[in-house]
Amino acid sequence: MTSELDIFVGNTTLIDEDVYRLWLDGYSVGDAVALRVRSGILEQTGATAAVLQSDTMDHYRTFHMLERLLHAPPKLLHQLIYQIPPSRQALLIERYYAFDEAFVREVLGKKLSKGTKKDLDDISTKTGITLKSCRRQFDNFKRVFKVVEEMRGSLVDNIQQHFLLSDRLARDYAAIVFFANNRFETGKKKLQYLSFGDFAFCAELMIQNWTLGAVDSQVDDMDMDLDKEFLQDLKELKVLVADKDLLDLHKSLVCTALRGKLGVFSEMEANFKNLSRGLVNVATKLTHNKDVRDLFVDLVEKFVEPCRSDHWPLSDVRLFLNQYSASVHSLDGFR
Amino acid sequence: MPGKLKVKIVAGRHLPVMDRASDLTDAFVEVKFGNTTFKTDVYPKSLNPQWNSEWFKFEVDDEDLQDEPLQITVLDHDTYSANDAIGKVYIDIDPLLYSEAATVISGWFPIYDTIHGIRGEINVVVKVDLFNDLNRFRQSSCGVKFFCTTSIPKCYRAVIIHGFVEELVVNEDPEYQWIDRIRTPRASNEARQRLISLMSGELQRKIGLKVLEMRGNAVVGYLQCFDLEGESGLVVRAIGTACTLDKLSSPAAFLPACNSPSKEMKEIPFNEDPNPNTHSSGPSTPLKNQTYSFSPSKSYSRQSSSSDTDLSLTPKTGMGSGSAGKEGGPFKALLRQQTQSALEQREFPFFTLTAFPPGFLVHVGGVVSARSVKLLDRIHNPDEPETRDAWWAEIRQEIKSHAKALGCHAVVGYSESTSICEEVCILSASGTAAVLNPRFLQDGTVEGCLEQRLEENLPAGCGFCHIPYDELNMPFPAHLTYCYNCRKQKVPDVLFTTIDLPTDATVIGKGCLIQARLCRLKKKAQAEANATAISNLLPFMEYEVHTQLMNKLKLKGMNALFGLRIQITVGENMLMGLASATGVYLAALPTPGGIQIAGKTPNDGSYEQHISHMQKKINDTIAKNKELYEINPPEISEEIIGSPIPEPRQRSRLLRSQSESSDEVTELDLSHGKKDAFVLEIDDTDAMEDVHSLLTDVPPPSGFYSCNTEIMPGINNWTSEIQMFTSVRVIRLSSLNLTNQALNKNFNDLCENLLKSLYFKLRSMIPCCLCHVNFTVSLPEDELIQVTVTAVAITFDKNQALQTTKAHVEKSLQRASTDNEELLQFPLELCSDSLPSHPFPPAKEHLESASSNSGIPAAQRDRCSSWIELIKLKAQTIRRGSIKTTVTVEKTSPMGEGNFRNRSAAPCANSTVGVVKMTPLSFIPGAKITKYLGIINMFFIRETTSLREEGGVSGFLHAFIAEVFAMVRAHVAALGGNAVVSYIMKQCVFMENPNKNQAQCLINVSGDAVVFARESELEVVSTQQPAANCQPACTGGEVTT
Repeated sequence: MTSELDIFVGNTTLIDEDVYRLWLDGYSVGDAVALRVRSGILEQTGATAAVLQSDTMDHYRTFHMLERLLHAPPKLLHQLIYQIPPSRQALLIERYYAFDEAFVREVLGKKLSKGTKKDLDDISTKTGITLKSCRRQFDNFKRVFKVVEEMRGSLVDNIQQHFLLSDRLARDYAAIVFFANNRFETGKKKLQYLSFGDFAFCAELMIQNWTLGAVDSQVDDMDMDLDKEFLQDLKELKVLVADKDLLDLHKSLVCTALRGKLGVFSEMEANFKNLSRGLVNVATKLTHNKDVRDLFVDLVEKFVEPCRSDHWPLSDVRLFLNQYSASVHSLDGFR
Repeated sequence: MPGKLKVKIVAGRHLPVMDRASDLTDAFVEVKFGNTTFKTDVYPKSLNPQWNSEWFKFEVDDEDLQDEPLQITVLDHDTYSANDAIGKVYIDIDPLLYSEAATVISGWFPIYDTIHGIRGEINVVVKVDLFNDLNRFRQSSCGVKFFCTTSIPKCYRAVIIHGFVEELVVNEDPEYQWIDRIRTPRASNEARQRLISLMSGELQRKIGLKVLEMRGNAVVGYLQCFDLEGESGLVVRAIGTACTLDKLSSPAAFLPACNSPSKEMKEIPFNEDPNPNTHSSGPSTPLKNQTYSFSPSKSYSRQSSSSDTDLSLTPKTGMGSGSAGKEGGPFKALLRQQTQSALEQREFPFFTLTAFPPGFLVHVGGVVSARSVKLLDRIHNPDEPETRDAWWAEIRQEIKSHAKALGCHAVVGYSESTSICEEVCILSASGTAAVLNPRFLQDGTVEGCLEQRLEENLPAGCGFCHIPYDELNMPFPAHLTYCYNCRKQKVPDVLFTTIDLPTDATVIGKGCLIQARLCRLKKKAQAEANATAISNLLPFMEYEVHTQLMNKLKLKGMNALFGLRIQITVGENMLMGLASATGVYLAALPTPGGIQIAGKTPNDGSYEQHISHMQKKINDTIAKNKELYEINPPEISEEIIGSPIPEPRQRSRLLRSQSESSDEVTELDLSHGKKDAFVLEIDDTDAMEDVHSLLTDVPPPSGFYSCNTEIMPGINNWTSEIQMFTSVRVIRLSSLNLTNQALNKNFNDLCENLLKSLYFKLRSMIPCCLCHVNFTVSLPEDELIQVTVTAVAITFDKNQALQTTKAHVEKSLQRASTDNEELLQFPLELCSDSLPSHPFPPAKEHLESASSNSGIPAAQRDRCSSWIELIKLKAQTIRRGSIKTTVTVEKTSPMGEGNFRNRSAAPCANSTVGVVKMTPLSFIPGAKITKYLGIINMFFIRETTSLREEGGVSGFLHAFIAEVFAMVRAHVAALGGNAVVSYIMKQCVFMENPNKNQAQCLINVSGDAVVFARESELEVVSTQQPAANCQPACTGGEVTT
């Protein structure tokens, strides 16, 4: 006796969160059944392995059919075929677009191309995330990228509108899209200690302050590309390190303001010129695409690492940087 | 020119890409009705076209309006080649033809293609302007309402129940016409869909005409089926019950049986009347075991004769009316005469209803059924479907005579079905023989109401169990006892019926789903030889199915079956029998005896040991089941279980005749359990197998209950969380030397595993009950068995169970008392002779069983000589208790929240899709149906030539069923409804050819589109009208543990 066909269709589509997770994690039906058995579900419910197998198959089939709709979440809301309560719809979408930290760190800043996709099996081996799951996450990034890439308006809003993601997840996707578009290098060994959250934080600030959207809200691609004019203008900062008087003046302003407030004052005082030169050099080089890509590498090399070797506490770094940029405004030519 | 149909095509969305080059579609729409076609403009290059067409107007006869569906085709315009069809929408405009239903159909419909499935949606608005039709000789029957619901619809009142209507139409199946060889599968499927739609319309119109002839205005319990007879044609047939319905003016005015006196209630008071029924006939010794009356009168010849089996479980008698005077008091005799005269005018006194207005059902005789094996022949003249008509007439005649033999004038819960394999067809009909109250069957009921009160003095809760036949004149001895409730009349020891549990029945404990499953191998044969073989097998199958049912019922410690449905399916090389029913313990019937195993060779020691081991297991199971289903009738005597039985086997008892019912006077014998055991003789391995299979049925996991009736006795605190589902399984049998036993085991496992899977899937709904579990078996190919299950899972609130039950009991008491008080002046004198007897037995038994667990001696009853006092006393208790019940209603589940939004189906593109509930039940828990919008009757075909790519057979069928649900929901939403009740999947024919990568499936579904409102939304009219009022859900209320 073999089962040829075995289906269950509810008027309200049944979604089992645990099975959904297993499916998203890319497990095969067999593996999923084994994992569920291990979770002790058979003992809890008194079911048999055959029942579990049939149930898992059924859910997998449902998810497979829903996947097409999940690629364009608004369709999931308006479709008539599967009756799913709104809260469940939200859960389906949110979980489908959720990604693994380990995975996103691997592809952040990479071009979302076929080439990268070919490398996914390496990533899968490295991170222990199934290839299937890697593909889903990668395709999600790419899909979101494609949809919002040529759009006007705020990046986060666009993502939210077209993919119905939560605010948090939409911001994360904005960061991913922004990084992918500008191809920032994040994979270097030096940068490994940075989490996705760190980069997402940077991305958000950069989108707010460095993009076309920061100046004019009616341009295509406004939140994706850096504002070329702004980068050009950054070149002018060179005077801060090239002009010796200005450099000294800047230093004295910063030192006066921070005296007694900084635990690492002496180190700062001693290093000021180096630090300032490092920062300004990073800024002035940003007109070249290659240097844009290396932005984070350069920042770490030129600024973060010197600070770290002197054991600056975070609060001191913050105070210093605030004072560093604030004092510039009182210099001649920057008023 | 009686009607103008107006159609507007608004917009489309999510259309498929038809032009690969541009990834877009140039869509336009053809709107066709009858022979007239209109077209919209092409909306270029869009997947979300906005046509906003003008109103297309069709001027048509109302006959056409009823028959024809509106056909909307969406196409992709192609300048150079032929336009490609994207898909179609068929809209049945029938709901627009009667005034009370929908006025407009407006909404998003899935665009359906038989090859690709749903491909986007289209927004359509449809209206009908009807002109008054003064033609007396009209062919149309606009205005007759149709309901699938097999009870009086919730917001109506039955003025008269006229009776049985039936009709069938036949045609050639387009799939088998010569043209099918040259047309595409799509064209062929569409021709079939359209033809069935047309035939359904015609059928409905013709039935409507019959109803108008009978002066009715509605058909309730409308069941339409189609038989795919292959080469010989296509038959669409329908049966129903013609009624005259009155709409209850406002939903609040509708306070059904369980309420304080409203206007309607005054007219239906008998439900709770005291019991003045004077049954004076001499009591006789209650004895004799249950027997099967089994009379296979089979004869088979080519065309017209039939092989049939009578399977009335309860004994039957040859005489119908002669006993009337003897059996009951003068009232009863009068009633009987009236019923008879009312019913005798009818050719077939059949009713497709399974639940009845209070008082309608007087006595129930037992299940009557008839089957007949026919050879199909090409239908030569579609306009004269006489052969098929004759076949059915024959079967109905037989049913009628069976009913008569049981002393009944009518058959209720009547249904018909067929099973076809190649050219052999088994026609089946079954129902429950019953005696009905004539009140609803006559005209001018309202005036007659007062006098009728006299006759309606039936004891509540047990009256229907009393035997309608004459105990002195039974051809088969049956085990009759005095009713355990009223002690006045005789009842059988087991009752099988096809109806729902009557609302006033007193049940102890909870019920459960009981199934008998059976396979029989059969040699492959041709034509007549085949039919003969089947005819010969049928009686044996029926017999075994009944033995199984009886054994399982006893094993559960129960004594009655409701909703019995026996399906016999014929295949190439086997016959399958599947019987489903809901077992309950009726308080009025005696405690069932245990099952006694008897070995063949009593001298063998080890064998004996084995036997006693089995016996112990059985006894344990019975005890466990009693606990599980909370069956603790007032008097349980230990000796009942597993007591030895002197008498050998039922067969022998068949021969004993009338001698038992003598006139000697005895008192009620409550401890007759010893004689009541059921013997199973283990004389061969087969029997052993049977016993084993009895014990292998696993009870549902805790927190789960299941039944195949509308509601579960003993559960009444439903929440609004419901989940309707369809599950399909197909297994392939290993064809190597199949034996009957292996086959049985396979089939048994299939059903059991299916149930287990359901319990597992729905575990998040615990505590919950699967209601209206409907199994269908088919044998699509030699080695394939297909089982389709549709049911609804309803969550109930466990915590409130006890409290509510109590409140319900009290409430039921109260309503009894109010009614009584009101009617006091009147029935009091008239029924003076009944005073010593108990006024309302179920209630009393309750209190007593609660207070003392002893039996109810007659003396105690007599002490209560003034029952008015008793009532007043109880009424007080209730008033204190009734407040509690409100809690149940206000509780809404999280799922329910989304439901209000969609009450008006908004056609606007931006709105999210409204929730449409679907349920096979006639009600929605925790809600009131405020409007019936019309019948939904849809037929779909889906075919694929890329089976693997669509996920194999499972993927294909899963998607298709989901699509069918979606289309049903869309139609309901477009009618302005938010639920389908009495939903049924009547057919799911699945054929596959994996080698060719092909599959095809036909599905036929129907139901009633309704608008419901949550009870919390409705105004509470009176303080005494909490919650559960109009819901059948509360009908189990009288039941306690």
